[in-house]
Amino acid sequence: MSFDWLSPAEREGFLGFMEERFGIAPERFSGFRLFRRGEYVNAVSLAAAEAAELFEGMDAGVPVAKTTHSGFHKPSTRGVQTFGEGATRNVVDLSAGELKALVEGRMVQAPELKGFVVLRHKGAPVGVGLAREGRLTSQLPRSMTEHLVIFEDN
Amino acid sequence: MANPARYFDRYREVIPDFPGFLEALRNDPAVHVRVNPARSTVAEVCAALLPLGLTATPESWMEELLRVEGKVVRKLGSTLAHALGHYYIQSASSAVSALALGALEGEAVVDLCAAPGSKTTMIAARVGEAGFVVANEPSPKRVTPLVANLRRLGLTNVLVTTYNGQHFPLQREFDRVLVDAPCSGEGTWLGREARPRAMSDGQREALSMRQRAILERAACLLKPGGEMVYSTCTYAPEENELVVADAVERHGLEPLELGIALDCAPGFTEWEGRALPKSLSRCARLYPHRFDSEGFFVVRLAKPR
Repeated sequence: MSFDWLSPAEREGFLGFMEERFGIAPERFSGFRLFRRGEYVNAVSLAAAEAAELFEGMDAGVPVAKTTHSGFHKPSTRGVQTFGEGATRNVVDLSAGELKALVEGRMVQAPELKGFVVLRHKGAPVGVGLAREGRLTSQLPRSMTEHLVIFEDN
Repeated sequence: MANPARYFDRYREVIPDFPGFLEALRNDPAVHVRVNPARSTVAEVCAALLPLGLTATPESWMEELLRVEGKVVRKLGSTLAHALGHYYIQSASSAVSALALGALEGEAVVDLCAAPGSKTTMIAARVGEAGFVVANEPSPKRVTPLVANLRRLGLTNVLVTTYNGQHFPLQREFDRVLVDAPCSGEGTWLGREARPRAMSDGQREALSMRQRAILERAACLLKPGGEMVYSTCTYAPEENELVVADAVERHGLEPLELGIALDCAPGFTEWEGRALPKSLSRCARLYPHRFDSEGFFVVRLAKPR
C-alpha cells in the first residue's frame, strides 16, 4: 500500500485546525509527515516516512484525527495521547473521580465547553471527550475502557 | 505443567541441572513490565502500580525493565498507566533479545518477525525519531495487536510491513536486523497455563527450513559491519544452533558474546554427533531455573565489513 500523503495545502489546513481548536502549535508536527488512511490523518516520523517510500507498508505512525463528512476533524485517542500534551484550548482537566465516571459511561459537568475536547488527567492527555449542553461524555474507545480500572488516587 | 519430562527428556544430558529445570517448569515465570521512556519514568510506573498492591523493582541488567510482584499481576493490563502506554508487559527473556541487538539513536532497524511488538517497541524507543524500525509481520491476525501496541505506546517511527520474512525486499541495507524467529515455543511451556504440544520430525524440519531462510535473508539485509540478533523461545538445537551454524558457515557471520551480565548457559558446539563451530558457545541459552523467565535462545551475529 502506498501512502496518501497530505499536500502542503492540506497539511496547512489540518495543522491550522489543530492550532485553532486545541492550541497545538504547528511546529509540534514539524518532524512528521502526514498521510490519509481511510478516514484518518496519521503522523509518521520523517525517517519512517522515507522507509515507506521503499517498502509496501500497511501501516505507520499514529492516527491523529478522523475527518468527518463535513470536513471537520475529530482528534483520535492515540493522537491526543501522542500530540496533545501541548494543547492549551478546549482542554478539560479531570479528577480521578471524573475520569472514572467517564470510563464507566457516565457524564460529568462541563459548562462553557462545546464540541470535542482534550481530556487530561494529572497533566497527561488521556483522550477525547464531547461537550454539549453543559455535559461531557467520553469518546474513549471501548477497547481502551472495557478492562480499565481507575483508582480514586490514580 | 504436568509431567514435563515427557516433552523434554531428550535434553536430559545437555541442560545443566536437569531436575532443577523440570521443577522450574511447574512454576509461573516472573512478570515484568518495561517502562516506555517517551511516556513515563521508572519512578512513575512504580508509583502507578502501588494502588494495585504491586511492587516493581528494576532489573540490575536493565533499569527500565521492572520485575513486578504481588497478588494481582494479571491486572497489569487494566491500569490507566498501561492504557496510556506508560509501560509494556514483556518477559525478561524477550527484553534480553531486544537489548542484545544494541540499537542506537538514529539507526535503521528491521524486525523481521515483529508481532506482537514487544521487541519492536523497545527498539523503536532506542533509535528515536532520527531512526526508524520496519516492523515486519506476515501473519494478518498478528498484525492487529502489533499495530495496537505501536499506537498505544505512541511510536511514530515504525513502518509496518507484511512480507514473508524470507522474501523481505532487498531495497536497502539496515544497521541492525532482529530475527525473533517463529519456533516450536518450548520455552513458553511454563506454569499452570502451559499448553505443550508435541512436534513431529517433519514439522520440526519444516520450521527449521523456514528459520534458515529468514536468517539468510536477514544476513543479506544487514549492512557490512552491522549486527543482528537471532532468537527463539525454544530449546531445540535444530531451531537454534544448527540454524545459526549454517548462517555462520555460509555468510561468514561471527557470533559475539551477549554482552549482558546474565545467568545463562553457552550454546551447544555439538549435537547428535555433528560438530558445530566452536564460536557457537557465544550463543546464550536462558533456562527458567537459572534465569527466572521463559526459556530462550539468543545470539548476536556480526557481518564482516
